[in-house]
Amino acid sequence: MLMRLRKKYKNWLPLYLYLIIPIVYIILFKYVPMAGLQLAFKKFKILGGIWGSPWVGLKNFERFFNSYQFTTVVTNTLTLSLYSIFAGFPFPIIFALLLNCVEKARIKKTVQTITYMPHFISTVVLVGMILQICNPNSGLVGKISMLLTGSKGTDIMATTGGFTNLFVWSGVWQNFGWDSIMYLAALTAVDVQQHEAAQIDGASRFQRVLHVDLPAILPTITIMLIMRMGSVMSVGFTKIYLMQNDLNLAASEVISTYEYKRGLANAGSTDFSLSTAIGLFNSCINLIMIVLVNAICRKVSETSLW
Amino acid sequence: MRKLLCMLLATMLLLSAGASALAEEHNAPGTLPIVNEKIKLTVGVEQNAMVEDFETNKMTLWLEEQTGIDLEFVIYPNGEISTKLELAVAAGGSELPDVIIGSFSQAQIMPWAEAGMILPVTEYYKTLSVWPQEALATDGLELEDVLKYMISYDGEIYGVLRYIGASNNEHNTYRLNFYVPWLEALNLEKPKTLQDLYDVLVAIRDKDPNGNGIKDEIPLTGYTGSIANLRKALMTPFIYTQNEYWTVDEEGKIGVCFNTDEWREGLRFVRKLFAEGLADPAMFTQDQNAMTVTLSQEEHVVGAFCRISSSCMSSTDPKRYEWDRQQFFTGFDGNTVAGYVPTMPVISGLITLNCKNPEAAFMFLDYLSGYDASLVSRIGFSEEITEVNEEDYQYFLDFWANEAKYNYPEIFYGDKTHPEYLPMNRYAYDQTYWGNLQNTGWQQTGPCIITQAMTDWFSSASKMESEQQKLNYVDQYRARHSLLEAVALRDPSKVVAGLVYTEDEQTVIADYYAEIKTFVETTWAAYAVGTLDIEDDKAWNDYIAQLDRMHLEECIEAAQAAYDRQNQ
Repeated sequence: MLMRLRKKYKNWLPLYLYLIIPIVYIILFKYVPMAGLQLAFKKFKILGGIWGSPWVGLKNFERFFNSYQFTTVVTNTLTLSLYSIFAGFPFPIIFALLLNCVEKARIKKTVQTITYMPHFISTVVLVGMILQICNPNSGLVGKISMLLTGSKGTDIMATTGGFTNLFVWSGVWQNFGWDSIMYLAALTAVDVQQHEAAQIDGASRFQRVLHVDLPAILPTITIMLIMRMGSVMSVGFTKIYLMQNDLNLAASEVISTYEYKRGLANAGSTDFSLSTAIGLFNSCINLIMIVLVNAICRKVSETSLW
Repeated sequence: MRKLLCMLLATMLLLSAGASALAEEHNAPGTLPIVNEKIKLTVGVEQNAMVEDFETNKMTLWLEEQTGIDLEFVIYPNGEISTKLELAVAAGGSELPDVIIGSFSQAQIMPWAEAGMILPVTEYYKTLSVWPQEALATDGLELEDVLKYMISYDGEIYGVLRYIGASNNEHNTYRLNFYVPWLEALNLEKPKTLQDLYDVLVAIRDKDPNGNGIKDEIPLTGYTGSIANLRKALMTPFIYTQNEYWTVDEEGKIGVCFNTDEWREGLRFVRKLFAEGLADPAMFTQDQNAMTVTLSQEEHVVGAFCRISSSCMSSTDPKRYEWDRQQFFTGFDGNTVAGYVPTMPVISGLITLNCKNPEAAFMFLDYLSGYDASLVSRIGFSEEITEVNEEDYQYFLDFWANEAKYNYPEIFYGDKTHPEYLPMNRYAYDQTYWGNLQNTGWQQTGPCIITQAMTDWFSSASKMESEQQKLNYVDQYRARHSLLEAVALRDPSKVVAGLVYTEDEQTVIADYYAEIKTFVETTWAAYAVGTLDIEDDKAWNDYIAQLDRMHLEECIEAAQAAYDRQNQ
């Protein structure tokens, strides 16, 4: 048995040896910490550590589900993340398809570089820019409104609708350039012969994009969509926390900021077991979503994650 | 003084009664040295970047001479004291030094106390403590009033206190800043009552104090981080509003301020300010940078703003020093109370289970927190303090007579007997000590008591060269004066602060009260900008009903239990 294994894998031994380091890394840093998940069912005491704390069963989950803000918070999280996914989805694709049609390589490269630069702006700087621009007194929006209508105009950040739209579309602006890189890369693999065949058949530019380019990147689009749905419950903490204020809180309180506030309500005592329970809840929902979407994609098209 | 004598007498009697048992352990509290036979104490302390060497430090040698205790230091690297202590505790505690000094939170020490690693000092404070009284008395404080904030949830005190009093920090969260040049231009006094506040804001809005013919003035502004302060400043004249919103009546019964009729009255006033354009609704959404931009504009537009100070403005901007501060307002009912956040003492000196003579250790730590030792720790040794000469003194008198841009009638001194005046270097001391690397003192490490009065005594003013320095100097004087007014109007009987909860109570507060506070704050904002109608009775009753549904009663019970433990 051993002899057979040796024969089969002998030639590839160096490659398998390369694999050892990443596998060890994944086991050590991704699988071993999973043992800490038991904290979700325990009441964390500092002296006991993770293993020595007492079991409380589903009490932490009950505390979360029974809280006054539970429905608001979960609704906000789902709204914001689904809105972000579906608003942000078409733009990188359309942009990649359009950019692919540009012939001059120099223009293509310049446009690509400029559009993916906003991805590198940190969240704090981005929110600072947003707040600065939207300020009715000293910001761009306020000054333009003053010029056009003579009054300061409504404060966008003070309304719940304003917050949601600002959050989503600023995210789209920031990320569509970076996300389009994947699609552009996929588009370079499109068979030139198919384009020539289409041209001979008399297809216009637009028809070529629709019938040759788009189907070529459809597998990439599907995979990206499935992966994005896998993070539907995780709306980033930093950006929301910085954009929250008393007036838009009804739409801006999400699971992560809500737990942050509850943890800090008593200065100095953090409730790790509650946070772990929330995180576990989030991850379970994400897992269900990703399995569901993957099953749908498998039925509808040939591409799926597994 | 009599109390001291009585305690001394009582302890003497006790000691003589149990003389045979106690033998040579320590001398009566209040006498130095603490022990006749030299004993050794190991002291655990975190490395202080400003202290060269604790073993050979001049203050250490002085302490050893005064107390008769030989000190041996165990130095922990900077930032690692908690880790090292956790490790030592986990290993069973045999490696812990006799005494540990630093700054510790309740959350940090409670596991150690539960494991028996540190000893309670509640009894010692009752029988052996003498030295802190003198230091605290300079600010008019009693030791029990300060100690009650250190009681852990099991009723014991687990460490010797460290108290750094700063009346500015106590009052600055109730502060509004007013632009002095406009007050002078409009011939107005800084408002001290709510009616005056309203009138001043109306005058700023209507009378065009910046003289450009456009109605672009913003009477009152703020930013998201100062909404809580504005709430406290404007609601306190109606009902005392403090951090955590607790109220307490004469019988010691805890309530909250946000479900009362007075809160609704206050909201009516706040809504009036926003409705009439006297307060800027952008304050709910703008961050500090945006507010600073509006404040620093060439053509000045802001009459008043809410923030703990004007330090958000650039230090090179002369407008930074032209704001006067007001920390209290007289309500429409004529009552004046200045809200404040009492300085909390910090648990600073722990006695571990390894200490063979805990009473002597306690008395040593007690001495460390006394007047003399604290002063040495903060400004070095007294032989370096000298009186300032007459010429320098006259310089400041001349400045006020001739050069100051704004006129204030009182001239000021700085000495131990008149701490209420802004000090001006009446006593010169070694200025190179504090904050610099040296080996003559402990730089305020560990237990010590520095009250505001003591700080004033050794504050200083230096000669001014530029216009900016002169403005800064006058600004400091104005700030100090307004603070003194506020300090005189405090009402300690209304304060509920520093509540320490048991684990069960903590769960209740964490689960319910955080949400209640968020709900209260968002509703307050909605009423202030007019999204909800304050005159609508149905909406108000729904608000009150909602609060009850959110388990408000249970939270009040938990706070009541904690308050009773604190004030038994």
